[in-house]
Amino acid sequence: MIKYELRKIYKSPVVWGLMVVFTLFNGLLIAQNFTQRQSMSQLTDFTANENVQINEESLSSLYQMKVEGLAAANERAGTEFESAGEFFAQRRDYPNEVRAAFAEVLTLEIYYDVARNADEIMAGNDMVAFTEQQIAMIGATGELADTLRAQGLVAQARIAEILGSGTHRDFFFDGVMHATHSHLFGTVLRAAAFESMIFMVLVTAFLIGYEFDAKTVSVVYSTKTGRKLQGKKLVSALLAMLGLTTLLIAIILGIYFTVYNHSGLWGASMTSIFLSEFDAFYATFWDWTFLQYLLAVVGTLFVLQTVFVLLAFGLSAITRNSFLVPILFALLFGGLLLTGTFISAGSNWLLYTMMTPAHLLLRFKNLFMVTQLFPFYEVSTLLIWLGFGTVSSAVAYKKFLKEDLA
Amino acid sequence: MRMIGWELRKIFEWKRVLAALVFCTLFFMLFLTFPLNTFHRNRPMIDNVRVTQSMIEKYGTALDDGEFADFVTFHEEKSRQFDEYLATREDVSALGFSTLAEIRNSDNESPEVFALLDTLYADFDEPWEIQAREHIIEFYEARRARGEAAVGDLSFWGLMLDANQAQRENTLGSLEAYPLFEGYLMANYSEALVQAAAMIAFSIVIIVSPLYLTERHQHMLPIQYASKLGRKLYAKKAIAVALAGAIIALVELSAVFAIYAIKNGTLVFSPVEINSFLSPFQTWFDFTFGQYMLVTALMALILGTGMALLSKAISRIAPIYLTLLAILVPILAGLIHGIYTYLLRSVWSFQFPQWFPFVIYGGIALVVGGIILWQGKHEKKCDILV
Repeated sequence: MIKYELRKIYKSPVVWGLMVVFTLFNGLLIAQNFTQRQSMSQLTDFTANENVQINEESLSSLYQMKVEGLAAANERAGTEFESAGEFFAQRRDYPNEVRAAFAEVLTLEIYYDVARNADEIMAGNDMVAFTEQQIAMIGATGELADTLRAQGLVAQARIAEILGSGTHRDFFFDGVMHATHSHLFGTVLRAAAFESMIFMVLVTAFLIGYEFDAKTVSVVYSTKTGRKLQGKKLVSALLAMLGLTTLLIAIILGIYFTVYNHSGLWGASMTSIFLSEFDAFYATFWDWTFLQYLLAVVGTLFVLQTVFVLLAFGLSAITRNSFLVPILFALLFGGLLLTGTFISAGSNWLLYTMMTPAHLLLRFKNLFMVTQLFPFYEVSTLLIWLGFGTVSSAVAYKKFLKEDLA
Repeated sequence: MRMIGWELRKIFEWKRVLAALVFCTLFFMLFLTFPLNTFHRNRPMIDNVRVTQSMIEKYGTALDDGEFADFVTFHEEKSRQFDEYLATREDVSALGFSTLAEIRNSDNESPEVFALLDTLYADFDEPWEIQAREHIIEFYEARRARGEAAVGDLSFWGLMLDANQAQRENTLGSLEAYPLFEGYLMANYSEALVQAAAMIAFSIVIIVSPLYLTERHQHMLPIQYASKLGRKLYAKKAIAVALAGAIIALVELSAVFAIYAIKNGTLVFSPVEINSFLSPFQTWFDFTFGQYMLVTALMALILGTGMALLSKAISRIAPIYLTLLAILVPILAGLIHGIYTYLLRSVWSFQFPQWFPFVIYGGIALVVGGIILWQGKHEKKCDILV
C-alpha cells in the first residue's frame, strides 16, 4: 500500500514543478556570495597544499606568499608599497589589473594578520559583556537575567577551553570578509529547511486528504483494514520526506560546494578564529570539524522535518481538509513565535517558549553555537517536539480509527 | 447581479474568513505593531517629528528664507539657554566643559564624557531637540545650495544623479519655500503599508483561492457547464472575485489606516508636500502626504484585486488543493518580495523614471486581465471534465 501512496507523490507533476522553482530560487541565494568566490579560492589554494592548522610552518609559508605577491604587484605597477593596505589607503587611480593584484595581496595580509593574532582575538571575545548587552536589549530582569548571566559565564568558560586546547588556531574563510557561515547556514540551508517544510506540509495534507478529495472515502475507510491505511499514509509521508528532503539538500549542497570550493577545509575546526563575522561571534559548543558540523546541521534538519510531518499529520487527520491544513500550520508557526510576547521579561518561561521548531528554524545559523540560548537547546527542543508530534499523531490516528466519517 | 451576490456569499465562507482573521491577528502582532505603535516612542525619530510639527504650527506647511532666519535665531536662543543651564552643573564644569557642543565634539574619549552625554540625553529633551534643529538647518542650507548649484554636478544623499534627476533636484532647490516633511515619517508609513499589503495578499489567498475547488469537490462543475447560463458564470465569478479582493483589501487597509491615524498621530502632516529637504524619498510629482497615502492605498487595492483574480484563474485549472497551493506559493513569494522591495515602497521614487509606476501597474492590470479574458474565451467551448 505504501508503494501506491508514494506513487501519488512522485507521479505528481506539481511536486517536481515546485522542486524546480525551489532549486532556481536556491541558485539565486547561492549566487549571493558569488563576488567573494575569487578571494575565497585564494584560501582554498593555500589550504589544499598546506596544513589547515595555524602553526609556525603554515604561517611562514603564508608570509612567504604574501611577500612574493606584494613584490610581483609592485613590479607590475612600478611602485614600492610596503603593504597592500598602504596601496588602498592612498587614493590614486591605477589600472584594474594592478588593483586586482593588490587586492589579492590584501586578502593574504588579512589572513596573515588574523592568524598571527589568533590568541589575542579569541581572548578578546567578552561573552559576559555580550550577555549584558543582550539583557539590556530585551530588558530582562530577575530570574531570566540570572539565567542569561549564568549562560554568559558558560560561554566564557568555553572560550577559555578553546584557548587552552588551541582549536581556534585553524584556517577557515574569513567571516568578516566573506560571511560564509551566515551565507551557508543562515541563508542557503535555512531556505532549504523552509522549502522542505512547505513540501512536507503540502504533501502530508495531500496524502491524508486524498481519499476525501477523490470521494473514495466510503470505499477505502469502510473496513477495519481500510482505516489502517491512515497509518500507512503517515509512513509514506515520512518516507517522502526522506526522499524529497534528501534530494533538495543534495542539489543545494551540490551546487554550493561546486561553486565555492572547500578543498582542504573539511577538517577545519568550527571554533576557528576566522568563523566570527562582523557583528556575530561563532564557535561551537563541542570540538567539531566543518564536515561534522555540516552533518549535524543536516541531521537536525531531517529531525525538524520529521516533527513537521508529524504535526501536519495531526492537523490533517483532525481537519481532513487539505486546504485548511497548510493555513492552520502557518497559524501554528506564527503562534509559536508569538507566545513569548505574552511572557514577562523577568521569567525563565520566556526562554522555554523559545524551545519551538519555529525558533530553531529562524535561528538556524546559531545551531550548536555558544551564543545559542543554552547548551543542548537543539537536542532538548527537538526531543520535546518529537514527543509531542508522536503523541498528537497517535491520538489523531486512534481517533480516526473509530471516527464517524459521514 | 443576484448571481454575483450568491458567488460573494460562497467566497466569504465563515471557516475561511475565520482562518483569515486569525492569520491577520498573528501577522499584525508579528509585523505591524512595530511600525504602528513603537515608532512614536523611539528616539531620535520622535524628536525630529515633534520639532518639525511645531515648525508647521508656527510657519505653515513650508519654510521660506525669512522664516528660516527666524528659526535659526530661535535655535540659537534655545541652545544658549541650555548651555547656560549646563554651565551651572558641576559635573559638566568638572570635566572642563561649558556647552553641549563642546561635550559632543570633544576629543576626550574617556568613559566619564560618554557617561555625562548619556545622562544628559537620558534626562533632557533639549539635546535631542537641538540635534533635530541642527539637522534641519543643515539640510535646508544643503537644498538651497542644490538650488543654486549648476545642474551638472549634483549629488543627493550620496547618490549619483542623472540629468533628469539633477534637474528635478535643482527645481526643488530653487523653490521659494520648502515643504516641512520629516523623512522618518515616510519610512514609517511605507513600512506599515508594505506589511499591510503583504497581509492582504495572504488573506486573499486564504479566502478566495479555493473558489473552484470547493465546487469541483461538490461535483457542481458538470452541472453548471452543461448549460449556456452556467458557462457565463465564469464572468460573474470574475466580477465577484474582483469585488471580494477589493472588499478584503479595503477592510484591512481601513483597519490599518485607522490604527495608524489613532496611534501614530502623524496625520497633521497630511497637507504637507513630501518632496521635502528632510526626506531622502523624492518623487517626480508634487504629492502632499495625504495624497500620497491615498495613491499608495489605491495601489495596494489594485494589487489585492489582481492577486484575487490570479488565484481565481489558478483555482479554475487546479484539479486538487496540492496543485493550487503549489502554484500559489511561488507567485505569492514573488508578489511579497515585490511588495517589500519596490512595488509599494519606492515605485514613485525619483530613482526610477517618471513612467515607471504607470508601466508597472498598467503591466500588472494587462497581465491579470489578459489571463482572465483568455481563460474566459476558452470557457464557452471547453469540454466538461468530471
